Amino acid sequence: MTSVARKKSAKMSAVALVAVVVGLMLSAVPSASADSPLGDVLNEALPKMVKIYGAGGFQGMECYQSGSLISADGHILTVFSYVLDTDEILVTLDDGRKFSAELLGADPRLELAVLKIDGENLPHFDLTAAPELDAGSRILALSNTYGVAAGSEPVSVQHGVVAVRTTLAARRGAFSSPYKGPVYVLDTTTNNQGAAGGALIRRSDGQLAAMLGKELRSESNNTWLNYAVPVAEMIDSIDAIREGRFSPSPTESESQPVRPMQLSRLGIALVPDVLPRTPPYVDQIRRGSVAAELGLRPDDLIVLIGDRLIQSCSALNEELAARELEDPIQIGIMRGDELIEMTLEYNEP
Amino acid sequence: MNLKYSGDPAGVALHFILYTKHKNLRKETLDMFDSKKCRTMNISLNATGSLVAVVAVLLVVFSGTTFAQESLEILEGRAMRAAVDRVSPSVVQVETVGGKDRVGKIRLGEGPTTGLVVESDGYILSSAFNFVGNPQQVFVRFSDGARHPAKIVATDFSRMMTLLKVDVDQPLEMFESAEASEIRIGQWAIAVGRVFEIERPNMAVGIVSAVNRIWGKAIQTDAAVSPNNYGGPLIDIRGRVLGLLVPLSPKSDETVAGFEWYDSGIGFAIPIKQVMQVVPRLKEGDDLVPGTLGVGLKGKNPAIGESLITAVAPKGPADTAGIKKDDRIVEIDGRPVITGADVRYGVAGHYVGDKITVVVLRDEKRETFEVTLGKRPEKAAVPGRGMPIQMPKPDEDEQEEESPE
Repeated sequence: MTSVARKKSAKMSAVALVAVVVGLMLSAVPSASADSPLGDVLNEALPKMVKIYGAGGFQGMECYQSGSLISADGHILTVFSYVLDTDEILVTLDDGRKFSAELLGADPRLELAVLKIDGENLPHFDLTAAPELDAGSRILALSNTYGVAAGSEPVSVQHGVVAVRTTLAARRGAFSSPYKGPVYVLDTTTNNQGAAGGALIRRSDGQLAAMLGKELRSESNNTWLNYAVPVAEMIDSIDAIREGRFSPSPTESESQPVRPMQLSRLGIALVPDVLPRTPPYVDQIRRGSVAAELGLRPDDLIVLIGDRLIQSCSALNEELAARELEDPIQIGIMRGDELIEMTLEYNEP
Repeated sequence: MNLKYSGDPAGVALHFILYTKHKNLRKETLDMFDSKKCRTMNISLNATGSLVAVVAVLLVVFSGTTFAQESLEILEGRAMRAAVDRVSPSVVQVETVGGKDRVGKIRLGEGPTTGLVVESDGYILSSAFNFVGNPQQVFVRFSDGARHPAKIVATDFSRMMTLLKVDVDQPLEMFESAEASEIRIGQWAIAVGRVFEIERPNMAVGIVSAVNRIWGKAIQTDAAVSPNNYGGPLIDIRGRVLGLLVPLSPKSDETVAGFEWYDSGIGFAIPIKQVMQVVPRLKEGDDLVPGTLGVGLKGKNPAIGESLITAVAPKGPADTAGIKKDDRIVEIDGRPVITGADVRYGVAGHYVGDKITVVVLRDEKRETFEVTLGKRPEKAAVPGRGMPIQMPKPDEDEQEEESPE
């Protein structure tokens, strides 16, 4: 390459660089709004929140909850609860304007409801832009928690991160909630009285990501769970309710086995179940039974059925009752320090 | 402006800062792109390259400031996830079978809970709270779901930690510790557990609220600490372990004490240095019990009470060592002592059988004693094997109110 050619290419690249910089500068202007300072995010998000007042107000049942506007003409997303069980649902916007709301419909499985107020050009969240969050995503929770926003003022704001994304039904008996699907668990105490129906928004851009659920106690460790249901889980139901074509999905009744599995059929008798959490030790093994053939012994501790950890006699009986007698079961036992796994198969005598 | 930090100078620089500094992040980030520094850079370049340099500097300055003001939160979130990923292999799930369903007024859950690998040959440390129901069987599960039967080796009833042992075929991955001297109030602190999902830890973000809490035994954090992460690590933004999360209370030594503060913004972690010092002792298989001097001090409130000894438990540790009533404690293990609280600081970190050096003022003369700490007298059978804090008053006629030590 000659020196002239080299110079030319250097000039060309400089011009190209200037073009790139100008392009970047220009592109940076609109993108700044997609990643805004906290104050801007809240100024935009808070007017999209509403306070909902309805039934309740006695025996510790508060008569209020939270909701978010999801359309310019007044659709509101909130939780389905006793608060809505009245003819007079009152909605207060962040500027104090009051509306009487109509319950358009509800999905009991998701515990969500859609309300409608008469309005136009209302600020609202765009459900189609809902982001997926992950553990560590920084979030803001907007709700009328404990009814603190008692007058004509905006709801309360809390900040935190997504602790983990999990599924409420992941562990049997862990949570007694009609909703069993995916949730964002939060590291902030967001789910208090009145907060249900509030918005979980992404801190960087204020997009609605999920709806705060009702108060829920974890059965697994007796603590209150702070969580929100992702928009992606709710959007089909919301759309169906808005379009008047929602029909509740038939409740998923857990199919009962025709002939449930019983330990006695396998030839196993446990120790008497006298404690709330009696460890499921084998007391006796019937001679000639399936269990005897496989070498199960008294004092073996049954700890696994399939992949489920069995923590008590009652848990073992519950797990077996949900299984067909004919289906082989994987069991894990502790004998001394050893975990032994085996497959039991019932033989018709 | 969501710049990828690979190949982008501003992004790389910011990412670097994020991982190396936790204080004054925003200021430091902006300093990084200070125009003065950029001008200096510019001058040093020769004329031929100056156009390209100016353009490059402009690019850095422009994208840098936009980036610094507006994307910090996204970068922080990314850094926090990276920190959790880093410690994740050492964070295990702990399961129990059987055991009591309540202790006192507290209904115990069935778990699972969390533990931290403290030795690669299968030693796992967890919170004593997780075993307060005395389960018949314990399992440890790793992130791949593999379930290993675990044995309870021993429990530290002062720092409320329980050591477990599992048999492993391959060495377990160890975490990196933060230097004790580097732990600063206000720095990021992330509480990590593994209770919701086996493959993925759960995290709670906060800051270090205080150090040397609970008589020097704990770091305090405002991150949400609860049964969702008791037994897991408190880590810094680089994924280094600051401490082991346990419920604690300044007012009680019971294993369940401090549970009432779960998710309150008051959480505790035993500093990792103390944790690693205790592990070899727990491996010997004997429970560690908080030691006591066996003296009563003047004043009921140790914070303002004096270090004047108003009672000595007969045949107790202090008595055996030769310390007498009316002695004034002025030094423990080389540290000056003025109040009853100072005495507690000097003693609380030690266990039964530990020797401490106590200097007292007797008839205005300093006398030095070596005291072998003893056990606190049992008040009554306490649920959860917690140790009662109350001391019998050896001298019932004593008019002064006392705080036991």
